[in-house]
Amino acid sequence: MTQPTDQPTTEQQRRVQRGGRTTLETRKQIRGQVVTATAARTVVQFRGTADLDEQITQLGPDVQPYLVFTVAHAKVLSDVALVVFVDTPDADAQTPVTSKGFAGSVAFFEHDGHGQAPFRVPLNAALRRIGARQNDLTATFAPVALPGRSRGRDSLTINAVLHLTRSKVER
Amino acid sequence: MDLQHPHEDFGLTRRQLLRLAAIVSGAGAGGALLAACTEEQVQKIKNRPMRREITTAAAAKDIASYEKAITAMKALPQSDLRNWTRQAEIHNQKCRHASWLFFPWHRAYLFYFEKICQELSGDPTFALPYWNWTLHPQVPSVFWNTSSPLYHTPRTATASSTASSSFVGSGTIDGILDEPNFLLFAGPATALNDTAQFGPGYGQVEQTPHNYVHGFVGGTMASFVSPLDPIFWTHHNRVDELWVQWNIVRDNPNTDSSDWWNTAFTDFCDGLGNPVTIQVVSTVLMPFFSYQFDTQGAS
Repeated sequence: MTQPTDQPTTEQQRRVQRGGRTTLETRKQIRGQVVTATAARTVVQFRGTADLDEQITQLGPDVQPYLVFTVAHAKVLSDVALVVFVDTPDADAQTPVTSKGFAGSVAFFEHDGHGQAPFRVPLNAALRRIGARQNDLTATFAPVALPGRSRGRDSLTINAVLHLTRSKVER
Repeated sequence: MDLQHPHEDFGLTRRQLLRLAAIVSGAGAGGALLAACTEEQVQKIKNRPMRREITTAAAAKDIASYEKAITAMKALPQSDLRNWTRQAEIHNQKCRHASWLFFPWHRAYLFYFEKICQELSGDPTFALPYWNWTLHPQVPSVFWNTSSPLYHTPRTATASSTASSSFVGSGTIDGILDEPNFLLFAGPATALNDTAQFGPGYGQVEQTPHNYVHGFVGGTMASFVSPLDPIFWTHHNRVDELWVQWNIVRDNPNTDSSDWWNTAFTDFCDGLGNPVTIQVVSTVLMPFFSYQFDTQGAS
């Protein structure tokens, strides 16, 4: 974790000028299977991930798990906001973000005609809070209503892949 | 004044400007560095416009100038690039989303918009206010005053709608600011001078608070002509403030890729309505020399 600095330094000025070498290298991908799809939630399971911590360790230093996904939905529901939980299959829009399994949130709007890019949610913090696991990893996607719009009665179609990715920043 | 390269506002070379950065930030400047610039230049940078949170009393002067500028922009003919609708069309037809160009393109867009507002409001000290939806998760009251040009319809949010802390709350924002990798914080890479409006993937700021607030306000804001709603500019100013927090205050490095640094944008016009070209490298320096946030501290 980076910490705020009270005063910039000459070294900081150099960094702002030049940036740093930042890399992302995905070393393993595990495609998820939808196991529940309702209006309140879509649950995706990643088979063969009961030993996820061990798999990550074997892939080398700086490797972290990320949930990479796209969302397809009924055209009438043009604006979507989702909260994402791991290993919390009963989560829904009311589940507090203080829940151990809360991984993140994403939203998009008016994508028709402009395409839709994949979202990427880091799972490290949530998995650290959850601690030891014995079952396959699950991800729960719960739509959140926006002002003046209903959440919709159709389930969302989620295409999710677990990425085990080496993230490195060299200054 | 040549606005194509912001540092040329001060008649400086880029090298001089980078030296000045150390001076302005109190980073241990020597007499030789000070000699590189006139006192007037140093003072102009030190006193560059201060972007303030829109709900604070200190922002009142800038809100009044913002209202004046919007009225003037709406009165301009369509042939003028500074016309309110023409400015929104820039976003509709040229915006960059879902890539590492999201931050610099929108920073340049706001920079030149601020210059236009300075020119048309007659207030050269004008600084664009920002809406800190983390501290104030309801649409600020100035946007609900029906006699103000800041009022806009349609919006689906009401004055009592509250943005979800799952998307804009301090816990969520702190988590995003803790991400050290630029490619995750800002977005994935694209090729040099890529012009695609939608790139290969979202960065964390864009996919969470940015997208959510567009949808939360709704109406015009939930579309690609969102700049027609005056709240757009204050929303994106908060997004820019988060980049300043991450890059300058928290000292995380942007990428060193020349494909990013050298990408040029040709989509904007300056305060006089003249088309400009600007590179990403110039946008990175803007918070040091052209404006500052009230949260930026000594940087």
